Amino acid sequence: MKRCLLIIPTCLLLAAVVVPAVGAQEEEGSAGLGSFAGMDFDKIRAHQLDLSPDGRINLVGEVDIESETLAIKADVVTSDETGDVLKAKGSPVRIRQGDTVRAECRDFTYYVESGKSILEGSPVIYQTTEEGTTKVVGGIIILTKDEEGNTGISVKMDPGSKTMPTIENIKSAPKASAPQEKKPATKVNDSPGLIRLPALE
Amino acid sequence: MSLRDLTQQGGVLGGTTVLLAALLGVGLWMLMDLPDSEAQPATSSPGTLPEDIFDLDSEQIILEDFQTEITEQDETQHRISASWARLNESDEIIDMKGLSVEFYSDNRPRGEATSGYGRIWLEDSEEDGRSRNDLLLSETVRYYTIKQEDDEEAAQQGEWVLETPLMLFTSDDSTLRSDKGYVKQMPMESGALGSVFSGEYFDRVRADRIQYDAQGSVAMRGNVRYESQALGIVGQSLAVDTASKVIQGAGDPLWLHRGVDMQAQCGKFVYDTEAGRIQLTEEPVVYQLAEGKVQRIRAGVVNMMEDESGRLGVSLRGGPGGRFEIDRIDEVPDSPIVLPGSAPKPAEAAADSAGQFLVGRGERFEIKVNLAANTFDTWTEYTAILEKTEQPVILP
Repeated sequence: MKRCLLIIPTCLLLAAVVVPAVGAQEEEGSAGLGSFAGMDFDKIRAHQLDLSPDGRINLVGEVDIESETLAIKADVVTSDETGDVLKAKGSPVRIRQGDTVRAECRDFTYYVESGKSILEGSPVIYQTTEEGTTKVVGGIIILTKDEEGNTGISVKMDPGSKTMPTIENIKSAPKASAPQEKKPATKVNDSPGLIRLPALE
Repeated sequence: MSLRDLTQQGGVLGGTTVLLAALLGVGLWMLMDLPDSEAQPATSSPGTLPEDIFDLDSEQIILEDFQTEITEQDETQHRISASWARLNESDEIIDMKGLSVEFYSDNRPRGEATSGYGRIWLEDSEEDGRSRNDLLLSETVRYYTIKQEDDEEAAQQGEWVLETPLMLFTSDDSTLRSDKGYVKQMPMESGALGSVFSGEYFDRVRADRIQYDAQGSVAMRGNVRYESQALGIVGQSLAVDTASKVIQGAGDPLWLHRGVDMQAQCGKFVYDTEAGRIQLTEEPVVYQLAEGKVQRIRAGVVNMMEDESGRLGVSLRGGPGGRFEIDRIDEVPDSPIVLPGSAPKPAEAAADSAGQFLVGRGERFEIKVNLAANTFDTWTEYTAILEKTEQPVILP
């Protein structure tokens, strides 16, 4: 009877599997599911996540990811097995890069190593500087970073579209795509019943 | 011929040979702390034995340096030496003190035991629920296996020592049983229980009830706690099915702990060892420590699966509000699992270690010793513990 107990150790083992779920990631220098595409994300939300054994990640359904440098809201976010290319699709995809760039588009591609971003599908970018906010609309918008971290923007016409790219200065960019703490409703003066609503996102 | 005659003349009665080294005389019963059955209330402490089983008024035969051999169908069952023995008036029971017993199987010695007290039933006893030639040992019983040098298979099995307040040998199945006990230096086969989880031998397995079936499946229920150096599980149930090779656990919640880096909780845990797939369901939460930060994963379902080359895939489905959540938090919450740093060292495979000590104990704990196979089996109820210890156990 006891001999049967010896058979079990030949099975795959709990410790050998549960830990590598994390440990394998650590060996590669990342920190588990919160780290992919070369970035550590402080927050990830979605309906589904699939991490394939070759390292591809697929996030589906109300995807919301945030790191210090990049925040994305989309329907689908994927990262390839190299971890260098991050793609997002949505209606729209909302993007925040740092504190200065906010954007919307339907297809977003981000190259981790170079920091280059390609926005396709009715892209709109708002770049805020000390001088004000610039709104860029085009067929394809490409964001690049130089060695000092400065953002460059190039705008192309969408093939087949007759709409010309536009650049205009506006007062301010729309609310950030990344969720921000909502301000509570406050009374206006002391007038009963009059409430100032927080700005809509 | 009665047994009383036998004690004075020597001889054989009903397959039982009684050798009397000395017959000192007749006296009154002395009050001894002997039990009348191995069945103890679950609430009694191991050292508490009934005292009302003796007939103080009966004239008894008192013997010193008593020796006897119990045989069944011309095969020796056990040989008993006692410093003191007493035959009761009905000639059905011999009570003894200072025992040394040799146990035999197929006429070969399989184990030795010593005990403070002992009792042999010479006839079936409905009142005691005992059969003829049953032997009860009590008061610091120690059973030692005897290595079978001439039996290659048996020689591979570990030697071990069992300590228990009570041990019953029933002639019906040539099995020793104990309600409560401590097993030291477990045999290789039992050490393999730890291998159910990873080839790492456990430091402690504890549950209200632990059952092993003949196929090696293990079912633990109630306050389950599994601890090894690398892995800890705390929950309400944990089962290993050798047929399906599936390990399942449940709890409210079930806690999983892997080293200092990973901790998880969930309502249900299923590990298909053949498919290499782990599933956590019922509000699973996984905490992972990395680079000084804690990553928390909350989801509806967590699946982890190995591919053919051993690489791991993970899927998350649903969660709070329909979406899973991965966040960084400041601290891992407290869990009921002892961190490996403070846990005892893991027991090592018996085949490689001559010194491992594992201990079993419980409020109601039956240890069955198969003399022929030189193995033991356990059945436990209430709190059952199998744990490793470096020191010999002192019985309560």
